[in-house]
Amino acid sequence: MIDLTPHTKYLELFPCPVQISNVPDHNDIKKNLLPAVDLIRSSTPNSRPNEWACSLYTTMENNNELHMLPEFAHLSQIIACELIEFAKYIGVYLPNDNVFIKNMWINVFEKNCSTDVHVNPNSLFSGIYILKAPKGSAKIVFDSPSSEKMISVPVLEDNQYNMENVAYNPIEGQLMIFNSNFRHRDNLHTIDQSKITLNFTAVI
Amino acid sequence: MPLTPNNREPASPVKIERVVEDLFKVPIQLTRAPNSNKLCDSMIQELDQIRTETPNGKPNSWACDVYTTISNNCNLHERPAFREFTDFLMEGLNKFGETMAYPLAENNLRITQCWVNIYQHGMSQEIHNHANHIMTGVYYVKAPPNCSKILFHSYQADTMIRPPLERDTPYNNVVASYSPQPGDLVIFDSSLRHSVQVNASEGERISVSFNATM
Repeated sequence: MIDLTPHTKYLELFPCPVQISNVPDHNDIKKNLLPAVDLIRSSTPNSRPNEWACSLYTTMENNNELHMLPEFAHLSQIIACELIEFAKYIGVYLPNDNVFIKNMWINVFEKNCSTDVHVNPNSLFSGIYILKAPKGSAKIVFDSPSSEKMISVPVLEDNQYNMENVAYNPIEGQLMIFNSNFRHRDNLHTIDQSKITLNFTAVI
Repeated sequence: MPLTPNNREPASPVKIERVVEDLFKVPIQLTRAPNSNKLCDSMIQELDQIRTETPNGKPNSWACDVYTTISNNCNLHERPAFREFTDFLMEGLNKFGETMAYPLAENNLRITQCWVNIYQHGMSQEIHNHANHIMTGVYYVKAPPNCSKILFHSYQADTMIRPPLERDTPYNNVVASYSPQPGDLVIFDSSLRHSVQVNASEGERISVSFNATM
């Protein structure tokens, strides 16, 4: 047996980037936006598409320009800046020196709610701002682009090369930005208190 | 302040700490054979013999005109003259399997197919992967300067919306290349699509490819 270690190196190709930003004034944002979310929820019916297997309250289809509302202006400005940081980091050319939020909507996860695996068509970037996430809230999961290959080898332990999905515990005030073609979902929400996220898509 | 397309370069109202996590990196294992010159020299004579006795087994579906034994002589790993070579391939496969945390001890890792590809000037190989296998590899017996690179294609290469790029980064590449040297052993997941650029060199580019399973 020859130890090939000294003769071996690895290329690490095609990483899928997820930018995680910690918004420092998230408590103030939460204090200001929870009443706004409640108001929207009381006046906007659930627009969950029929093809979704999951159950949750969403304004994705019928009230999806929250970034244009004054109450959301501060958070929208933070999101816009973080979108630019993300775009520049991954090497995207910004012809207008800007990234534009296309849609922003509310998802509310009550007990036993989840979301199916999905991508966000017709946009370049997507993101999630965790407005409210009590301990034990449903995790946000990203699926590997290779996870649909039809041969899945059992592994002794997960590592950076063999993981087929990565799950994040939602933390209030965290802003996650990623490419819109990156498949993601929310696990089942199993606690009584609700998880509330503000989701958005963006273009250049 | 509502965001509209007229708002250029918004200034962040707060100082933000951020990290970017790299998920699902695709590993390509590159190993230079410790005795590469000797190993390549010993293989060339045997490969010449194989070429003499085996007609081109190029499948009709291949657009390229490469000489290959993929369909009519793909058990090269069983030839006595290739014993040292096959042992080296198995070392490489075991190393890749360890890196991937595959349960090698309980399974019979084995090469199931091994064939030669010979690229003359102007020849190439279209994009493909290797169904029904776990690991695939290529060993380069001859790789003259400026011969074709091997290209790897991202699992997301077919995405229909792509932004314009300011610069190439690992995050926006959908194709990555490697310029092989004689004695290089390259191993990767069989599902990863790959291709070979046109051989721009006047010299032959000779590679021995193989598939493995458990």
